[in-house]
Amino acid sequence: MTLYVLRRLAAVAPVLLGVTLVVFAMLWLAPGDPVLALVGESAQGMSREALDALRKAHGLDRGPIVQYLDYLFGLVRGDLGTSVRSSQPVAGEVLSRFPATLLLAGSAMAVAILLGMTLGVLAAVYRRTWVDHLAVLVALLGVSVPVFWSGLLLMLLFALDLGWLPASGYGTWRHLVLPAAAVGFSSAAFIARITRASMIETLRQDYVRTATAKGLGASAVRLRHALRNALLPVVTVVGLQFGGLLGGAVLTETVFAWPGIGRMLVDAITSRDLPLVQGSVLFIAVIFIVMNLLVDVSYALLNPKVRYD
Amino acid sequence: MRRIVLLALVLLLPAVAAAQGRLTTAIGSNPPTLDPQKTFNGFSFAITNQVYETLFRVTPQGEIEGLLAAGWEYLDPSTLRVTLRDGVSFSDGTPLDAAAVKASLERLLDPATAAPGRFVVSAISEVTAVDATTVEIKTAEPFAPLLAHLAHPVTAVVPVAHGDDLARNPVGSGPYTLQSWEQSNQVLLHAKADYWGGAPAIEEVLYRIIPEVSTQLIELRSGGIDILFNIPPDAYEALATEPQLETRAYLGWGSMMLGLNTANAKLHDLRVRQAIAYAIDKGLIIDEFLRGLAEPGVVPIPPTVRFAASDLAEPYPYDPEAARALLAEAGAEGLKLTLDIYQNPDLEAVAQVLQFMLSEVGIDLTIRVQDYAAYVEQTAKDDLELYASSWGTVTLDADYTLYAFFHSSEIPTNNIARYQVASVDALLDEARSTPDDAVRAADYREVQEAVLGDVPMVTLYYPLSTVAKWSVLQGEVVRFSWINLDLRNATLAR
Amino acid sequence: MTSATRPLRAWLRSPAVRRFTRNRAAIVGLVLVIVLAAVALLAPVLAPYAPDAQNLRARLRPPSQAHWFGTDEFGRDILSRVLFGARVSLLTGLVPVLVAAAIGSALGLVAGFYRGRLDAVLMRVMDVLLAFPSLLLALAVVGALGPGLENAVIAVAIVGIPSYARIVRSVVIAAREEDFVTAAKALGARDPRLLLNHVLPSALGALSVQATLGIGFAILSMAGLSFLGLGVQPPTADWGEMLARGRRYLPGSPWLLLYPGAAISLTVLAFNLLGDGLRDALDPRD
Repeated sequence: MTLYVLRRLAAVAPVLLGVTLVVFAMLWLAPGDPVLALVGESAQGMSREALDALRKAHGLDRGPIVQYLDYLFGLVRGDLGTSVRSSQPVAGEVLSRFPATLLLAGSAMAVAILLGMTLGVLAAVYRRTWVDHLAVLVALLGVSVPVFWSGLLLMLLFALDLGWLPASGYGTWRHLVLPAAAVGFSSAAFIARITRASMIETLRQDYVRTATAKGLGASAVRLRHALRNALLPVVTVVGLQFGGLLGGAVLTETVFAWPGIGRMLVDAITSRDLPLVQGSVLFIAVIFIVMNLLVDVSYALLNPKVRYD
Repeated sequence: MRRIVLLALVLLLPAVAAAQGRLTTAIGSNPPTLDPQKTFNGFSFAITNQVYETLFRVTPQGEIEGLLAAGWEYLDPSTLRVTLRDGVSFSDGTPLDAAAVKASLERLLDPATAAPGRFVVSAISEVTAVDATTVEIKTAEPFAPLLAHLAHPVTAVVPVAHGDDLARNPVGSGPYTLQSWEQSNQVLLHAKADYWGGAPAIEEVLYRIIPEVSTQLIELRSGGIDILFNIPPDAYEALATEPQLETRAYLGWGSMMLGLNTANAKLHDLRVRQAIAYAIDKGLIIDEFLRGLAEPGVVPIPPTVRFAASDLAEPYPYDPEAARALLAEAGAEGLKLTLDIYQNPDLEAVAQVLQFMLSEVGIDLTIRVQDYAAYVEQTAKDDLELYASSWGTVTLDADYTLYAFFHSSEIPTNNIARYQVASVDALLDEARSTPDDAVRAADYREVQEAVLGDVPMVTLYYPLSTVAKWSVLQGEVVRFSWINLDLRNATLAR
Repeated sequence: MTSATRPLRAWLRSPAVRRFTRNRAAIVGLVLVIVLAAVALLAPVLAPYAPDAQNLRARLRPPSQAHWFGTDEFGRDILSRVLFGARVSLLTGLVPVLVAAAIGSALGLVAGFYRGRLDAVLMRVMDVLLAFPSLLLALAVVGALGPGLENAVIAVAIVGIPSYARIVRSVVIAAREEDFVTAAKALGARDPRLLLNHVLPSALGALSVQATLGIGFAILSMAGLSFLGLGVQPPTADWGEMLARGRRYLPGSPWLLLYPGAAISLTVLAFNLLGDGLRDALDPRD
């Protein structure tokens, strides 16, 4: 097992290096003078000398290779650079927003698993009936509807018309309900699909039939045996779904004024705060990689066959 | 058990009472910093203006008055002597004296500070602390709008000893101090009990950071926030009819303009520029598109700005026939033009209206929306044709806008229209250096007349700033812009 | 019966096609996609108004007889804009997928055929791209290149490349072992043409499933980027752009947002139904 974990870690290392290269490359791919992006509309009225001074002050006048090496050494020390807009360390900015995004993504994941598995189980148990079709349709609808659109509709309905929940903000569970529902709904489809498939598979298997023969009620059998077996494949897709959830969070955080990394990233892109864009992208990518690594390892723990792959 | 509940209730009571003194508002973006010298961002200034103070400020009537300055006089046209208000200190207890003002201005001027707003004070050559409460500010050349510039939020006096720490832990002499700042979520300010002007009645001010305008509106209507600024015109109408809300629209310092690159071959002919001016139905834009929440623009600066020649008549009232005739005369039928703008919802909307209006007189307009940096690079290129700009004369002095837009030394950085007229340059130079307001007024009037005739730009309108609030809030003063919200005499009756 | 129709009939009787035609959801998806394509093509005929015709005196009107979907902030007919928007939206969904499929397939072919160090490097690069959550990668690309339609298309295309590369590579590797390739090689046809002639057809099934689902994803991503102000720019009539602008008129005028949002949802749903149907038909393991 240790060997497997080490092998997986070794495979991740070059990917991580590649990710830093991609993230760094964003700087020299960017068109336009970053110093203008840095001061934004306030450049109205500024002289060329003043701009040059600003450029120097932010280290934007050096060659790209020097800047990349600097960047890598900085990363090793946990230094993600300095936000041009706030003059604060990017690492601190990213870390301060991370709990909010993790909370939203985690809650959305819970919604997605709960909704996805419910729909999947219903679809499998009532296979080829209208329940199956409806469950599949609902799940597909979730993945087809733009998450920011459903978020706004939820807000109109539950915050403005019914007044049950706050429209936006962060702090209590009531603030969490609408964004988590919107993001979770959008990620339930894949889980529903996997659950349905593995449930159908499991229901066919012998021991379920045996259990049925022993006289247990049909529904009890289905829930106890089939569900437990269906869980394993669901676990494996959770890691993959996490990426989609983070993407959904980016869009939803803006709608619900949720103070997470996604919103910070979008702000940083519009204000062309490149260090902050790079830092957020790098951080989320690393989290995603670590998440998938954890899923792989835990799957290997649950299912020893994988380790020989 | 019951006693515990009772005890808990008693303990909670003071918290409830304190919460009644909390005003909640919304801003659209997380302020990048709370160091006023390190930013040029309105969301930052909205909060730094509560925490720090400038030497001067502009009254709601447009006059300049002292804030930290108790008095001032010009020793000569290049030397301003300011007497500071006595006994003012920063919230860390250190005195705000002449030495503090000198250190603060010098930090702003220091290129190492990399202050984006440095240009506001770049005319200053030397600052001297004469005694504890007297500062002398020298400019290299006589600089008439100096007082107005020293009212700009970027010139707020900061205690330099705190250095970069000011970004997250602001320390100023203003009526409020920072209590807590949850990044991207909210900024909470607390009233300063020993504020030199008397403690404000409203104990706490909460700025919630809500990027979506529609979310802000829903929050206002559902009571999640008490006061909201910059309401879109279409939503303003609906809010104005709600009985429990009070709404107000007022003229600020903004202008919306369409600029024309006079050096471009397509626009070099005055008749073409006049045709474009004739083709635009400003009245329709204001009445329908802005729901009446703007005043028709003529000169580039709104009437709130000192030396605006607001009585000058519109030389090119809407007349599509005249526009077509002029285009034909100039041999410019089937004219194709590109309008450059940067990402900004107001600009994008206006650009689309202009596109349609110009199409009615046979001009085919392409809109190019870019982010700000790319837009600025485009405006420096010679093939630039039309551009649109949402501009604020933040100092409320004509110099700020007229010099930047029409002095030939500002081509192409700010004088994007490439307007180059020697007599206008001379007028702008004289008006900047004379302390005589009558001369300044006459000079700026002549500049504005020239600009109206030559059409380097069409001033579309002066937008009205809007506020909507729950009636519980009374006594707040908003000077020209929402970033200048003054709560020192405001009360909250829940 | 002519000889020309015989292969068609044989194809129609093939198990994959039979599985597909028996799948009601897949047929619904197919019909919807055809209808949407027809709407996009016939927009000038179907639309009651010109999509860009402004009438500032009839702004923000709720749905009525004259304007079934209401009017927007410029007094333009929303129904007409939704119909015309189908063109841009389908195109901005299709183009990144075609670009990604072309580049991805080429990379997959090269990697799978030559194996060795080239394969290792290419696949590591694909791993790196896959290490980013997809919307985040698109955002990163737009963040670097700057907002705008072209950059958004590039961004969404880059996101798609690795999946096509992987599909084609695995098919090539499997096919290399098969007899007909070995036989062809023995005859001297040891050049990349071999790949195109023999291998690519067998990858088409998996590619078409991926591409169909990819169009749905691309439309959603483009709409998301437009919503964040980073994609399609006004005045282009595009559903994502309509949503981005329309949301500023909430809560007063929800119809600005309702119809384009429903159009996106329906379109993506159609491609998802079709894609799932294709997958079930071509890969009957489920």
